[in-house]
Amino acid sequence: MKYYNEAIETMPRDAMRALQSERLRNTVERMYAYVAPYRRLMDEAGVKPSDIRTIDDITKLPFLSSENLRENYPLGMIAVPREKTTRIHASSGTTGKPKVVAYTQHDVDVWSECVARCIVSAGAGENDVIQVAYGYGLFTGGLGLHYGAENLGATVIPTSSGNTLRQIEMMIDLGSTYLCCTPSYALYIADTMEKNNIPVELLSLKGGIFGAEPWTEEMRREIEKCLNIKAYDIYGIAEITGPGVACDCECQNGMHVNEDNFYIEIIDLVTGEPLPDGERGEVVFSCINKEALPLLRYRTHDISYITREKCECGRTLVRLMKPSGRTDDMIIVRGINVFPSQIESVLLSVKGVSPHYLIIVDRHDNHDTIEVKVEVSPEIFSDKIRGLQSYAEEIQRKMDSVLQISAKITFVEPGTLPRSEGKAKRVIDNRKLYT
Amino acid sequence: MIKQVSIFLENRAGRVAEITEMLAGMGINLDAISIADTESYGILRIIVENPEQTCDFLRKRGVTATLTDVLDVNVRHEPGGLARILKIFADNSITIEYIYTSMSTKDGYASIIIRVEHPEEAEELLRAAGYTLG
Repeated sequence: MKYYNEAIETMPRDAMRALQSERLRNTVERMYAYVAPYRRLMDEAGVKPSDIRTIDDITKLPFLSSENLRENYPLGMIAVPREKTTRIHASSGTTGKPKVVAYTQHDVDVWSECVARCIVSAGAGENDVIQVAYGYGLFTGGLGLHYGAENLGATVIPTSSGNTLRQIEMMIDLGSTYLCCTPSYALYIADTMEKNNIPVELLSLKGGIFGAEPWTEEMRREIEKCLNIKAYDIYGIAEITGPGVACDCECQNGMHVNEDNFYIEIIDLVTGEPLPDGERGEVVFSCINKEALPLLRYRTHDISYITREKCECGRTLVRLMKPSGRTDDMIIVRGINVFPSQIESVLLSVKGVSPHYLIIVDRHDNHDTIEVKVEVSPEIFSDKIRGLQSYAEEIQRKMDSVLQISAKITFVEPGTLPRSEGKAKRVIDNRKLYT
Repeated sequence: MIKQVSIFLENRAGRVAEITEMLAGMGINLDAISIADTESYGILRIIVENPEQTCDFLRKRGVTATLTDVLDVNVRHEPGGLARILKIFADNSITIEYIYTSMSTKDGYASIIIRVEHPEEAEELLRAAGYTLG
């Protein structure tokens, strides 16, 4: 099987534009009619649904960002009655509240078709055994790949993340041919096999579909070498749908965007003006075939560029290149999005803890670690070791429950962490994630 | 009962030396010293002649320091000297946080620094048992 949906994936550009134009018109009409906060934004921008005729008119529409989701938490942006939704997912927000996303059955079906296209474009088919080692739950990774693989008719092994030795055992015993997880977890699996003297020859793996965190071409080569597979990059964010927005093909030279559903633009970081193909800027997506949460011109904060050059695989779908950075200070740790502001709000919720902190992210043996250095304040310092220790434990507990991350808390002397006018440098990321 | 100066120590080479140099520069003599350490930080506890002044002095130099009430008990420097005191605490359910000793002994007595949860009550018990305290 070369394509999952050949008509769409190899559609001539003009036909694609016509399809996108029609879908955009419908979406804008529904958003204007049913989503009051969006109607206000359009009114403020002085644009009416009737102004949107072709896909090029999309630039008349205002941008949306996570801020709009936060202001309308949890479901104030949905364009259907809540009763019509069949699925909820969520990802971290910049403050305490997550970004909640909703799907109708139509949305789940479109999403799983997109993931199925991705799996096929990564070389797999209905006879493959696909092990999904992304986390299952509110995170879109696990269920996203799961439904896509099922839609394709492949055999799915929903191991979810963690329990690495059992993961390896299942892979060997059931002859998994594809592994889906974060790229760092793929390397961690390879390390674990080596440490336990499990030869890679026992695996039947042919390929892996890896995403949910940034990774470099060096990491790709390392995964391919260690696991003796081809490693494919998959892109997606929960606000747009989850994994399956775009994926590598056999050429591994940019991810084909499922642009019949998710229209992509690259905009200038400063002016917000659309940039021509090949120029690097912020990635902006519009959901033009979604019922519940059809966000339009949603700013992803990812920095990358696109190309419409012909791809050798035969797909005409625009290609998104590997993101080369972020426009905000979000860090991704073991596939989980973390904002320094979330860590700050956890710290400030513990009485007496100083607001001066520094987050150090590192990767040891393919395992991401977070250390939070906190200045000791006179209020929390006591002569007893137990005193500070209990503060550290309280902070750790809250980080774990609010952010689902385990962080090491280190106390440092007051005045020793960097301070600067305006925005202080809060994060030191020692991982090499972008090339 | 006396005041101990408790000082936060970041876990990095030379930090204790820096603080003791600061104290030396002020002509502050250490009567007793102890360090408690964890993987990432430590707490330096010292007994000095003028604890309030020393604490202020350190804070002005950006050091996190605090005063703590501790017992300074004169214990006979002989087998069982400490055991007898601890028996009194045990019999009266007084919990000990930590113990360390001072620099010198005189007239056959050693000065022991003891941090307990309720220092007033502990002091009373020790005096009643005939001990002298600093």
